[in-house]
Amino acid sequence: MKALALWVNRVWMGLKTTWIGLTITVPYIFRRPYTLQYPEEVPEIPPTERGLHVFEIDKCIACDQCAKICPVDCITIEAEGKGKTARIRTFEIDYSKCLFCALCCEPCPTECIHMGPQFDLVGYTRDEVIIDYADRENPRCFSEGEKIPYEIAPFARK
Amino acid sequence: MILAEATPLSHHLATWLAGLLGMQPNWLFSAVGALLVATVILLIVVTPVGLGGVYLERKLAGRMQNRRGPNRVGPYGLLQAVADGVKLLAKEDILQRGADSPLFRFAPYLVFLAAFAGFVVLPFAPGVIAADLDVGLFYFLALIALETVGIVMAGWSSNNKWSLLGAMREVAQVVSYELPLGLAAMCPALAAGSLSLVAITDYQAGPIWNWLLIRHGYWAIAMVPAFLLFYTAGLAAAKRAPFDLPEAESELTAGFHTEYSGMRFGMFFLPEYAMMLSLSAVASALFLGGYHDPLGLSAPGGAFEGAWWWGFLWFFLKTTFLFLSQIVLRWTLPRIRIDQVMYLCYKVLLPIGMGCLVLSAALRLLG
Repeated sequence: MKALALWVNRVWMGLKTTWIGLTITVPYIFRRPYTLQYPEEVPEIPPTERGLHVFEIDKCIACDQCAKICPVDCITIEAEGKGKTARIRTFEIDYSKCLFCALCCEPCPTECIHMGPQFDLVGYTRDEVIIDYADRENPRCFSEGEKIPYEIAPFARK
Repeated sequence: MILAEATPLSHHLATWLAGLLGMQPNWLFSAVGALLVATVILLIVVTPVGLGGVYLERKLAGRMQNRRGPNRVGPYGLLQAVADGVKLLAKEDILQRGADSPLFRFAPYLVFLAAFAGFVVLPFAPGVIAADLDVGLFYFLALIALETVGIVMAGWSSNNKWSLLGAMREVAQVVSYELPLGLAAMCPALAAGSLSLVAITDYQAGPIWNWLLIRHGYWAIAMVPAFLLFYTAGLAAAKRAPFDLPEAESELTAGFHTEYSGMRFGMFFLPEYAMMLSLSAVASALFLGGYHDPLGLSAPGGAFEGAWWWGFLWFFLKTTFLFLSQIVLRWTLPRIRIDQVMYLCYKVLLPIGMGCLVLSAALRLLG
């Protein structure tokens, strides 16, 4: 009799636990999915995001401080002259190396380099992720007097 | 209706072929004609069943896990299964060293055949059935056993320990679960006094209280457990979770079809959905009144008596409901151990099944 009671209890528990499981999973069918359709929908980026750099070329004095502090040596600067008269020829950041630590922004005496919010960069070759910020066509390179939109670098001065 | 029209069609085809070759039509031409017709029917049935089943499964699984499921290929991802099918067709067909070549190649066909041959006896709507066999239910249960043979062949010939383990589990599981499945299926057969699915369905004509599940109220004592039994044993026979031990991904890689690639893998993949659907269809025909609607409009004398579209609609609704519930169960319950599978079969389902059978027999005698 005891064995029969155990058996009945097991069968009952089997049915009951299945039912409990279903009451948990079935409502999920009618919930909104969390998935973001990434290339079309972009996740909301916090203002402190450390993404691709934003560079103000006319402020740069080619002091090479950012290249020196960089822990992975991803910044290459070539310039004619030094100080306020310097002409920057190349300011390349190799994003295959960069670890987005934002150490390059700290020592800059003129505050010409910032971290921007853009987080994605793709290319078919490694050369495609080396970006030259001395190129004034670059959307993240800003000349003197040009206003930096908040979306591109929230905490850039001026 | 399909074969009722197809039989003359195959006959016409046979005479036409014979005339083309300038010979008298004989049995060979009839066979070729019937084969051609069967191929066309198979194409019409296989494509929506297999591909639709895969799509529904993936979409529902996604939604239950707060994902979206396939939504890139075609509108709402509807063509995802087609894209996967094309991918499978284009893949290399690998025959690994040490495999038993003839068995290895033949096994997928046997599984495919067994799963889709079940559609022959499904009563889709009044008059729409490929072959109204007197032993339709028995034929359907026999095909489940035939599928096992194909799976054992696949597992043995693969020369792979995981495949063999999967195949052995399949045998232990499906052969055991045939008993409660058969017992549960016998209850409606006993009530209706026939093994023909059409006869059982038509026995349930009329409003909802004529359906065998709750027939006249008191039949429910025997039929509700029998229905649950049929459903559970059907899950096990179709190798669906929580009884998916033969292909348990986390333990056996992919079980009996570990070594299969390309379209041969597809021929194991599609029958799973065909099996689920045909089991749902048989369950709805046995217990839920098949193509009869709950208001009794399709019963003799009703407004839609013999209207195939009305019958098909209700058959489709009931079958799809059971099919979806199988998918939802898969994504709800964890896989159970093989000893638990055996416990459930021999110590739980079998005694309940015998009780149901005795009860149905008693109810049949009493009224």
